[in-house]
Amino acid sequence: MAKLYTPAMAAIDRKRAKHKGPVKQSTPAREAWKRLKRNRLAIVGMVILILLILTAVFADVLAPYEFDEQMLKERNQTPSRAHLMGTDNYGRDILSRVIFGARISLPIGFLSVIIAFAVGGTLGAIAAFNGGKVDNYIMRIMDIFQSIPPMLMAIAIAASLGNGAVNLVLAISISTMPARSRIVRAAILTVKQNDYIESARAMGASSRRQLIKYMLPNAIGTILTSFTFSVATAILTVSSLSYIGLGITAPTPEWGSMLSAGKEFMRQAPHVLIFPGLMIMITVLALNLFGDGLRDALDPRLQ
Amino acid sequence: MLKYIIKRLIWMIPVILGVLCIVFILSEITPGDPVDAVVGYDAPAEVREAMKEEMGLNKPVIVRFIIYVWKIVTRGDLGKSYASGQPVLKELLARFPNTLILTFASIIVALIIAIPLGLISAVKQYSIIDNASMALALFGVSIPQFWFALLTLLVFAVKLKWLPASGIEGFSGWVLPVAMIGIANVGNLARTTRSSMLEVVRQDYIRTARAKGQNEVVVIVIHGLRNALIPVIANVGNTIGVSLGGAIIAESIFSISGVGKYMLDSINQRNWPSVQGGIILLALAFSITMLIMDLLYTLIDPRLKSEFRSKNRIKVKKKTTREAA
Amino acid sequence: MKKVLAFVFVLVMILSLAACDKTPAPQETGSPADTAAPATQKPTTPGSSTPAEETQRPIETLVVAHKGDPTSLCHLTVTFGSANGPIDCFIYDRLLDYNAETNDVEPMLATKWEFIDDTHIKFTLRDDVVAHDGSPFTASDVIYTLKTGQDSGKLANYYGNFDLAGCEAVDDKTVIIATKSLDPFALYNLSNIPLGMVVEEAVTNSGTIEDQNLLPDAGTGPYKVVEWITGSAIKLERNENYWGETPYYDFVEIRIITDASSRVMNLESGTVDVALDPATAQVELFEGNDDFQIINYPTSQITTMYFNCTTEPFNDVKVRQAIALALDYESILEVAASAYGTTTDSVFSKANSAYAPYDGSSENYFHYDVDAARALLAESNYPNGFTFELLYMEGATFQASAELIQNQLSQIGIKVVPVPTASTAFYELLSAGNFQADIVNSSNPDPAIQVKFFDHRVSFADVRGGTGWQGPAELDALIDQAKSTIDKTESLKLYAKIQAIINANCPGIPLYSPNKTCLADSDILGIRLTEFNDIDLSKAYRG
Repeated sequence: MAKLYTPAMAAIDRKRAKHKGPVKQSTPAREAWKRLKRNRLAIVGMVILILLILTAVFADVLAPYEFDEQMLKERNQTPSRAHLMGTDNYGRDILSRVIFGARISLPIGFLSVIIAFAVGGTLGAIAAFNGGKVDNYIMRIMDIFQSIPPMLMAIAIAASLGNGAVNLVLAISISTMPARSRIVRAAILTVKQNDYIESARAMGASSRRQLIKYMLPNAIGTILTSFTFSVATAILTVSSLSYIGLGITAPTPEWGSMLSAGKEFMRQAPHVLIFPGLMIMITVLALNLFGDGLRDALDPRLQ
Repeated sequence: MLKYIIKRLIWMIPVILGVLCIVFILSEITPGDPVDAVVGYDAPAEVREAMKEEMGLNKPVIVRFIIYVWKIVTRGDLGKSYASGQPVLKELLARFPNTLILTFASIIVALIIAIPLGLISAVKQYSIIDNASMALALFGVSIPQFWFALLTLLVFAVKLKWLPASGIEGFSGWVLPVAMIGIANVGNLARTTRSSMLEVVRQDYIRTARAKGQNEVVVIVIHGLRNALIPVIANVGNTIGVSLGGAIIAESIFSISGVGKYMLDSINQRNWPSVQGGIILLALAFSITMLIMDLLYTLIDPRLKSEFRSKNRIKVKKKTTREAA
Repeated sequence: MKKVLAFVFVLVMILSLAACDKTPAPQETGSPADTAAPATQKPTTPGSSTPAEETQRPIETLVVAHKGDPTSLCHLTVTFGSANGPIDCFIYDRLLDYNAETNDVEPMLATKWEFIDDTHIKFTLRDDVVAHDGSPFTASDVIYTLKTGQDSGKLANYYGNFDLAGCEAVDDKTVIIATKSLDPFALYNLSNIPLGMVVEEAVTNSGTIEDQNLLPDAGTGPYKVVEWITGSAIKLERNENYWGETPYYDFVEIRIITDASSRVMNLESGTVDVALDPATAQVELFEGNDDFQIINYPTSQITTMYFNCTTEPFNDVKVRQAIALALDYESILEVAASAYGTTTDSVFSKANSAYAPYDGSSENYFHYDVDAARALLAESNYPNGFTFELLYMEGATFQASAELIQNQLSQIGIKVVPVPTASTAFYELLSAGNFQADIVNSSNPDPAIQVKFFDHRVSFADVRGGTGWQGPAELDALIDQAKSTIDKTESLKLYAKIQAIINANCPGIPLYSPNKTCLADSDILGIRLTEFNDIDLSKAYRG
């Protein structure tokens, strides 16, 4: 059905939007965004996150040196103007390595969580939607998986598969999958009990339409919040596994493996230990701040 | 109630079988010939063949799995370490207490710090104490544990020489490893305590108690905290898993002879029986602890006493999505 | 809530700055040795000496930080791991002792020895030696040890060449040891730690030889085992019945601290007296520190990059020579070993008894000359460079060498893919000849064994790697001749010729020869180096 919409009307709309006129439609998402905007910390987190992603994308341009360029005459130098974060044992510029490190930690973190949510989430959604026996079976299997703590599971998988980015993604996504399925299941169950779903069902909406049209969009808030926190945890796991030698190995400039290699030199060159760790922390902090903001914005009752 | 406990106990059987299955599958997908690890890469063919027979590697996968499970269930036989030739179970049990102490000490210390912190934060919402403790909590969940450990090692062991750099001789040796694992727990638990306390404070019965003119401390601690602790205890369950993971890394950083370090060393030596044994032991310990936590939880929460269905666990957890993440 | 972020960063900054701060805070000016004693806050006044000092010598314990559990406390039935040497020194004696200063053997359990013919050596044994359980040590125990070692099949490098049928216990104090072939290195071999003697009676008293693995009592060494807490510590006590000089320490505790940095930190904080195998990067921090000593021995060990010369592109000699010229040996030594080592211009370490200095009789490529390297590569079959995989065992020093090689070869257009590998998989690949190039550190001081890596008649499996390089025809004869020459000057001449041929062809490139380092309290004396470049603390004492 075509709606009559003239340029003049559009102009009025724009004006109204500018002045935050009362006409503006108020969807839950828009409300949430408004609340999120007011939360300064969340915005700080978001900005840092965007900057980090840009850093990863434009690492070639931003890094002052190649990440593997060895300047053997300038080994273990403290931060200076030439090397803002100093150099490591091979005379490599730590700033450049830290910048290139964003290209490794961020994609692995995001990808592993996406996979965990895609697989675990689907299972959780199926369980929540069908209920009964299906729910029971799926959740019991998840229970079994969850009886191995995620870190232990990730270590076990990474140790069996061997080093490398792909194996790391697999290890993290498999080990966190059960928790993700629970989150999605719980989120959908909550929505399922809401009145409007009941009314939709009463109006004879078919199963699939129910799930997709009503439940998912309403559950998406919780899932998004949990997604953000999950990425934070995944990035911590990536660096921990690399630190103990089960993830990305040197000379790849992964933050955790940089710390692992720098440990031997922490006496002479503590800066080797400071900056990669700081970088992990800033990333995780940004994700946590943003996640906190998102949660508060989506569920105003908390706080 | 009793029925629920029995049901949960019976449920442990498939869980343990499932864990064994996962561990077995992992060992199957591991590249490399286990015979090499036992007799060496350069052993003559007949020695290799004999060892293959002895290890039962010629049998079909399913038979091997059944034998594997049977040995573990009936005799607690986790195999022999390739490195030392000693039974894995014996080596594991010698190291298990340290891991246990590390894990639980860090949780208890975290609770001792986190509950008052969360409580004060909730009562004095938006005060400096609130801000500071929530900052600490945020710091705790955001800092990479191993990095925190390295920094404290550098400061307190190397520069100041107040604490030993490794080992657990005496009390001081435990400080840094417990702090490393505890820091994340403090963050988590303080945040949970605060938010659940905030919710409780708004409840009617607190208002009633206050209206009756009861002492504020009594209101908060007796009426408030008791109810606010329920989600905190639910969260301790999650904390155990995280702490076990932390203990594995702490043991390797601080050279503590525990199950975690044993496993990581064994991974480096490709000593799979020891790695598998470690996973099984820790998973078992974790499952049993979770079972105890669950039962404890049902005892504490009056609302749940009437309707024990495992679904309820999830309902309560949903409030604390961040911990599950 | 704005303050939250500020707080977080203040916390991190304080921690980071404290970590970065290099100048010690004023209240901790005390030397590490002072803090070694449990922190007693009050300063010690001159009058308050401890009562223990006035009485007899206090009980002394030597605490050693060691890198890992040994595979076993008895060396006869297990593969001899690198963690075993320093521990076995305490528990077992050999027939002969090695003196690193003279690079020769000295009497130990045997007082005299003579060659009867090329393959038979007669030893006269001490008559006052008993095992830890009290059983006497006799000539038959020597044969028992050799037999058990050979039967286990895991110690072929050390026991393989003994001819058991030819060995004979003449009487309780005299034994004739036979070797399968003439072995100029036989006496050195007998002074080697894996050749520690075990008393049969003591073994049978307590069960089988496997029972010795955990709690041995069949050794005759200066200290006996009290307890082995796997993964944590090995506790030893003085052997009161020791035949030699009474061991100085009442107890020895070997603490297992796998992390090299932790071992050093424990030494500094006074928890241990000796840190074995410290991270070389941290050894240099102790230069000029009077409280600690750096034990720093040049060794015959050599870290070499071997090429698989049977495959492309390393079957091209010019490629190998170009690579040799493209490497900056000094910087590899500097980064990988913090300069605790020596570079060499031969496939042998300068400390190897058979090392021959470069005499100009043939070409030598083991020096850094990028332009010459480029020129040589241009003449080779790969003027535009190529990519190859460099295999090495996981570990900081190999990692460092590999990363430097990667960087330096990129200058002449050769791309290196570093492949760090766990030890079992590493040797599997090498033994199968399934590699392009690898880095290995060989510690065997026997030149005959070193040369095996360049002998095409020896398979990849025999030496766990090697080169498969087919040298000129005269090389085989030279190797065989050198192997069976006892006369030292003659043998040196032969090895000089062998080295000249190998060096000119570069089937392997000697990166550097690492020193054996160890850190200890400065008052501990008598720290020795074994023939296989292990630290021997069994004769240590506090001076």
